[in-house]
Amino acid sequence: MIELEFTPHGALPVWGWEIAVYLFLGGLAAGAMILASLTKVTRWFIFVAPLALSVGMLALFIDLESKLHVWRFYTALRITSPMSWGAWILLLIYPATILYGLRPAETLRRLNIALGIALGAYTGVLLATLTARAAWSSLFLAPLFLVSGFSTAAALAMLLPLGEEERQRVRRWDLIAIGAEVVVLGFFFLDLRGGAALFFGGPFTAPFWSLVVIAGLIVPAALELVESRRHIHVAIAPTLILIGGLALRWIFVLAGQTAI
Amino acid sequence: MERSEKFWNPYLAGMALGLVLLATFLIMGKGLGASGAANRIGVFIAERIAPGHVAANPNLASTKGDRASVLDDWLVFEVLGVFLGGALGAVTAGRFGAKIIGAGNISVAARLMFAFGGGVLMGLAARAARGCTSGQALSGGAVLSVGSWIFMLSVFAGGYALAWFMRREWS
Amino acid sequence: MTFPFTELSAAAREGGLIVAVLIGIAFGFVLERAGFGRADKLAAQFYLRDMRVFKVMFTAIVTAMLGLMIASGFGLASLRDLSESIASWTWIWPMLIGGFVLGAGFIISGYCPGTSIVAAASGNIDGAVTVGGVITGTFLYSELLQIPAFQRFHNSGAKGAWFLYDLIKVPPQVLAAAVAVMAILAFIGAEKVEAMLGGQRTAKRVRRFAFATVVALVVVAVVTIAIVPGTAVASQRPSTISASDLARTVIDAPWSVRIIDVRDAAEFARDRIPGAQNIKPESLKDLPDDGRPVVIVGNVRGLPPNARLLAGGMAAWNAEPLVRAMTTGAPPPPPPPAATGVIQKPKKHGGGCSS
Repeated sequence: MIELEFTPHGALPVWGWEIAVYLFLGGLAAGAMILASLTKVTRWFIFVAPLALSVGMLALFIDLESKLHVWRFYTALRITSPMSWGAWILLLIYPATILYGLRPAETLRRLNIALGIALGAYTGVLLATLTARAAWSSLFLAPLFLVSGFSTAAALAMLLPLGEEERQRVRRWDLIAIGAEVVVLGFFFLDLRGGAALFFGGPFTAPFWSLVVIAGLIVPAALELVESRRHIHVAIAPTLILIGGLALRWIFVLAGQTAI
Repeated sequence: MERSEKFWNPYLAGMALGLVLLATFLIMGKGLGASGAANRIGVFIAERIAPGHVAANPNLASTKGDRASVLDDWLVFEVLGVFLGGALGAVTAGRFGAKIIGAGNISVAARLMFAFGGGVLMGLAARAARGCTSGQALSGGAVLSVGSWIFMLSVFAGGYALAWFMRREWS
Repeated sequence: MTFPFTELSAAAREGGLIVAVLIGIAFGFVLERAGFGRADKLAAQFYLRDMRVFKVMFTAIVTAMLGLMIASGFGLASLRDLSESIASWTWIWPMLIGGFVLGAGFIISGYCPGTSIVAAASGNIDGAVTVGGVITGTFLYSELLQIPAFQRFHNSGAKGAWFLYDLIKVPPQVLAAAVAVMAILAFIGAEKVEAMLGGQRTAKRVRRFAFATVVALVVVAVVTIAIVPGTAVASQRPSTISASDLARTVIDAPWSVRIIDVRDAAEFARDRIPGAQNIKPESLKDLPDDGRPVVIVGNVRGLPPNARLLAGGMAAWNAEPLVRAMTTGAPPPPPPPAATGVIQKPKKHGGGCSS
């Protein structure tokens, strides 16, 4: 039901959960790449990136009308098309992450950070370039999805068995990411102007503020602060962040298709 | 894993609860609740699995009303908050952790069966009574509804009546 | 804005949903701190070891109840309107039997629906399983309701919006005071039982504080009857009939209702409802009852039993579109769409936890 081909005269297709999952896993992969490169101790975490990306693309692929047309993306690189960039970035990520995981080297590390940022931003840029959609018409969507992706990756890391020191480090990064996410959200809504009405009184107000902000950002941040003070760790904070991240992308995908 | 036994004094906790209840009354003109949300979640899941069946049963289909989603309801959002608040309370008191309570004298399997079975009974009962202890007893009781008080006293009666039979679980 | 929020607009509703989450957080937090996230603490109530459930519940009820009385006493909210919005209607048999079954489920599972959520949020697997059970049970009931006999049970003993102060005809504040006093006596009893069987005692200082606060609230609530006159009477609102309902009755079955106009003769001569009788207010109480329901037009101090007041009086009647259709011969207008921006009438089955 969803065709991912953009034709200049074609109507925008209806986007559903597959796109939301794809964006979520793409953000997670991007965040994993950055997190694994920044904090050397979680280096093995980098394998999450190709894994998440594959599952995400699978979700997308299942939904493609014309599956065979995917190869067309690789016959050229259209500089002005974010989808074209995206296809090539995705291709490069596999070797970059796997090589880095097997043999960490400085250049690979920097490449991973760069690719991670590119991937994270790409998911936001993709939606943001479709300026006809009120909820997507701000380029702040790119840093928003990037920061959110980083936060979800940190959350995933916290669900895995980590040493206490590692955990503290990851937790600190996550708290920074949550704070950054709140700030970027602020800029995003200011830049969005009219479209922001969807989230301030419009139909997406309640799910956005309850699921994404309260359940996905504020409560887990509070829990993490308590955790770091008392040196305990519970699975609920990271779980809430992951759910919040998925909810963020799902709500935005739906909101973008809603007229104000 | 138990870390802390610090619980609030029941009278103070009751007053705090009463104030939350009062705030709900005055700000929203509604009472608290839980079972209404459980019903909606059930319908939501059923809709995903067997939409035809849901449409065929007016008792299920009518839950949605004229809203876009059956989950679009005050109680569902409130229950989300209850979950978050409970987590916050548990974590800050050091009481969070995967555990099973009440499997001291009976097997884990038996405990979980009782948990599920008791839950089913409560689900049925709450629909009949148009509410559970949060909605009917607390909210309805505070506004002195006759049905709520009948319900509340019956709940205690039922609990005490069955207590003897469940004594091994709770001794 | 006066309390409570009503569903005035889509934006307000969305805001209300967010407020719901915040209120839920407070609710869940307090429940957890009260120890209600643990089945053993909850179940102990039914073995008289720890009367915590009783104490918390009734303290909460008394606090909220007295708070409501005080708020309505000072005019912040209409007690009856608010109560009808909060509580569901009364159906005696389902509530009686449902309560018993819920109590049974409570002691079997160790949780009630609300506390099972708190338990699940604390990581209690038994709590999570109970939540699953509750969801299943509510679903099963919808299936059961398809059986006619069950449906009859579900609707049996219907009493509408029925409050204790309707049953025992005293002003609500007095009843609330009595309930509070009974609660305190019950608490004292519970303490004694606990001391005998459970071996715990709440700190004396805290107990005294709690009881003293309740007594103070009771005094304030009762005092509001005295200093804010008419509250006790106002809460027993005269039953009314709307102009549109009366108009339809007059059109469809004018013989079925008895319309008594208590305004003075000059006004009556100028403008009256077809079929109305003009009777002086003083003579109302001597009105013989011919079995028909009575509608009173105009202002009157005390309604006779079973009589209803025309809401808005003659002004509302004249403004009624159906009436204009009657007098001018124009076709009656279609029924109006649901009003927005008006305080919603209490939902058909009341508010509260009803699904």
